[in-house]
Amino acid sequence: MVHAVYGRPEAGKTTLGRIIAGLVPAFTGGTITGEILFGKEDVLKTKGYDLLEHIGMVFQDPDEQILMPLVEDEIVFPLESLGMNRPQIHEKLEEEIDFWDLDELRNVNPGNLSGGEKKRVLLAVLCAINPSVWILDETFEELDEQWRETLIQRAVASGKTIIILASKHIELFDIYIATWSVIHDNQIFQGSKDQVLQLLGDNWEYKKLHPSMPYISHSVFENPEPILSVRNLSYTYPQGNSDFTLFVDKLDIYRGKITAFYGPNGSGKSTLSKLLCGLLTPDHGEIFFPDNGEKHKHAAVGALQKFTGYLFQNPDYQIFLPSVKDELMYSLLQAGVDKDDAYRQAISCAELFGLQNPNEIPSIMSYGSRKRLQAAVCYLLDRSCCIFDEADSGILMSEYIRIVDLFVKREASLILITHDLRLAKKLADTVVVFQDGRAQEGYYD
Amino acid sequence: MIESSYHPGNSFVHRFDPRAKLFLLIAYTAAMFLPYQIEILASYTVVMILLALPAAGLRSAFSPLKVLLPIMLLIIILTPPFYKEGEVLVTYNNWILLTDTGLIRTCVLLSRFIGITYVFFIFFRSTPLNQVILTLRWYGLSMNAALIISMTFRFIPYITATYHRVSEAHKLRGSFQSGMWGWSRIKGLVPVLTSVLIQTMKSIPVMSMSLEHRGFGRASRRTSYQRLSGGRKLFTHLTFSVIIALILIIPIFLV
Repeated sequence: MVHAVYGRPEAGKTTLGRIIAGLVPAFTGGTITGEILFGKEDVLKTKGYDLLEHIGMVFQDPDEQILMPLVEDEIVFPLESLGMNRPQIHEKLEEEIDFWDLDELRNVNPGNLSGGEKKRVLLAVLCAINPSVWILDETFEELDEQWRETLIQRAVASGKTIIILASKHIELFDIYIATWSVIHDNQIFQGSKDQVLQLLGDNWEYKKLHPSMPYISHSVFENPEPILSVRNLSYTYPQGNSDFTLFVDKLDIYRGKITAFYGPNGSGKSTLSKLLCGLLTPDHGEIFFPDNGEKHKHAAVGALQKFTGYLFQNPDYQIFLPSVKDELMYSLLQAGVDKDDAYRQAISCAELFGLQNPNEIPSIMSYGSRKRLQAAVCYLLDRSCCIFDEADSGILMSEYIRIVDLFVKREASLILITHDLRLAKKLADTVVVFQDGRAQEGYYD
Repeated sequence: MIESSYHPGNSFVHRFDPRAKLFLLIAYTAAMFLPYQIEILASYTVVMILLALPAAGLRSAFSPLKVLLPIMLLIIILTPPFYKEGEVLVTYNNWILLTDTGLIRTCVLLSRFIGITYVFFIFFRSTPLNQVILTLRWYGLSMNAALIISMTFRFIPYITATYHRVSEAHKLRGSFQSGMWGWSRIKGLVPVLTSVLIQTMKSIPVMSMSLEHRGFGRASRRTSYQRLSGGRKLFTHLTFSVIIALILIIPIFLV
């Protein structure tokens, strides 16, 4: 049976999952009362390692869970803990490597894989252990549509107890759900689908329930000119895990418009984004600014880096100062803005992005707040083009849309990297589809 | 050395048994600390650099030298002034900057430094990480110690990758640029290293959690899936490595 536990980001879904898996409060501290029974065994009185064959969990952040230096070792490690013999381990290893299409990656360090590939490794581990209870903590995020569908089919076919902890992607598995729950105001409510979605209060597919869901403003430009163009580009990683090469024949990014990069894991979306902002240099072809009169002359790396802003999936990559205010003022002061003026701009921007306390310490703020802070920092940089790299993960859809809207109102060109075609169609003026390292523009009404 | 770890290949270095390779690594490292003349140490170093060609390919074989360059420069600058004896080669205002003894000592240090770095580089470049762990266990290392080393292999590249991602993020924020040098580079590194530190510190408690969730700590005995093959190949390779080790230490008896 599939049990869905929904909740907004930071509602406590991960904590609940880890309590069920016997990992909290053992590793986090805190007090806990009550009991969780697995058969006759009280989970709260059992060590996490003794629950290995009973309860398995896929963590939301794969980097927190991957331990071994090779993909193959990652799958083998818990099977060795279970005391399986070599033929048994071999059979399970090959079965899961084959099912999750990891053969080419089996001798690769998992740390070098993309987010979606890491999730597949962790799912291979879970399926190899095949515990009685599967806890999937936002596991559908970062997986592309094909693997999301594969996962739900495998989970349903397993005959095991599946607990899905999620804040979105409800439409993927709602027909399979036996019980609906939602964490709301620190409490779990169980009820009908509509009751749960009403309490969740934020879902793309169920917008009719929530007319307050914001829409994106329309660009002010009627006939926009391209501000960044790509022609005949190719790029191969010098020491990559595979022979992947990216090809882009023609791509134009228009002033004030939204372009979505859509495609499966490893299809080249992030690679092209890094080329566009000057973090990588193409092997062949040009990335250039069409309006500077030097057509088809490849733009300098420094110029691209100052032209493009980037919202990384992980907001912590850019956060390092002791307060929200300091983070926001930093780039302004670097750019030579007067201190008082920088302070005023920082406070105003903090309000705009819903950062209530400008003296709060960023590194201990909630994930959603850190995402908003990262967006606010990028907003103040006032780049002509901004790339949102799966920036919707870990935050409410309404929050994501509001942030996108703020940038659109500022007339920035936006590139949204996403696995969600419906989201891409809904928000973007142009969708660029990636498949096997080839990027092609497609327009949608 | 670890960061630039294993790359698949079919060279004789790749095919050499990892247990024999580890034995040779230890023997070579020990030999480089014997009181040999500079000519012998330099020849051992050159041999190791040449061995890197089949193990890593022409493009990557010299990459360790690039990484070592700052430390090599420090050795070249700081070592000679400590040796005043011998024939004076360079002076400045009655200050002895370089003598022939200082020159030889500098070359000895450089040879040891480069040679030892290269032997580790070749070992990790040509040996899959799981075989490194199995080799250590074959030599008697406990399961827990092997696990610690295994996780180190996983996390050194993780921290390096985090450093690269964070520095990319800061480049786009304007707080760190590739072309920075000197004080501005140090200033630019502060935000990058702070972000990396926060990331790394956050990962420590969840790593323990994940280990327990993978069954580490269970009372029942763990099995071992990966094994190294034995037989005649192992005997041949170990014998060969013992002969090489003897050749490496023969010069000490000839001095």
